[in-house]
Amino acid sequence: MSNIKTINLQDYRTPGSRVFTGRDRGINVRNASKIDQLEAESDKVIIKIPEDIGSINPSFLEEFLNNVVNKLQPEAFFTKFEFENNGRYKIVNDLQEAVERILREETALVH
Amino acid sequence: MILLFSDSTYITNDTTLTDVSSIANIVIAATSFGLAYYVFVYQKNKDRRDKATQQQKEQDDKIEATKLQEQNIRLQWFKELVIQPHLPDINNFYNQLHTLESQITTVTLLDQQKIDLTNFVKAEQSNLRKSFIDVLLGVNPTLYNEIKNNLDALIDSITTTIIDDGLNLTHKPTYEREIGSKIAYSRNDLISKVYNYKGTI
Repeated sequence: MSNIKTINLQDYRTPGSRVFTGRDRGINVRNASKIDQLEAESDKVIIKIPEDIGSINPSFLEEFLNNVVNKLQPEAFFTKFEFENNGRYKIVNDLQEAVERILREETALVH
Repeated sequence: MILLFSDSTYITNDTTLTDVSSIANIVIAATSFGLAYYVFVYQKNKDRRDKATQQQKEQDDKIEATKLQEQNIRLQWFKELVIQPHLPDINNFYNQLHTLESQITTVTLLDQQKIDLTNFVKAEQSNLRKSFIDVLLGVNPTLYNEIKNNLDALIDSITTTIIDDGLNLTHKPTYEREIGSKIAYSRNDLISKVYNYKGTI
């Protein structure tokens, strides 16, 4: 049986808001959810997106996922992380944009 | 007065005065020589110091001139390779964002309409990142971060306004206050940051 951990973004949303935006907010949720630690301790991480969410912007995702994407690199990241996304809003494009940004900056820093 | 003394006294006094005169001459000559030597050494050291200072200044000026030349070359490349080819992308990005006004046609937007509108602005931001912003990362990371932050702040603000605020964005003054003016500020800020870039790393 694989070890699965869950992060429910409902627990970290600003009351009354249907968006997750901003780098500062991304850092706050990364620390509060302990996503880096959960990733290290589990085989799979499921991130639940509340159904009424309207947008999770790349500015937020870039900081929220920065460490795990850099650690795992895209292929392993997309294998290990699953986004439970049943509302109208679909995270796919914003997630792809955030991952590209993280990797682009990491590559620039290395070189 | 000397004539009043005996011959021997006269001779002794004469000899003493001659000696004193000779000693005085020697002292004066030695002092003059010492002073001349001091002036010579002082001047030599001063010349050496002045020469070293002058050489240092010339070296500093040369380094400064080289830096300035490199900076000018970088600025020229920045203008020709980064800014001029991407000016249409920058203009297109802001012009596309301004089309939001015509895309918002109903007082109350449905959830799907809100999502579609925000997806549209995020897609435009992504296009500009790929064509222009990412290039800045290799040119000047500080400028890259400043411009990225500017665009993120704009897109986050538009997203929050459309999704959260429930405002009547068909009302022109409201649209202008909440979205139109912010697009204009962002554009001005971006132009200002690019204009003020001096070619430094």
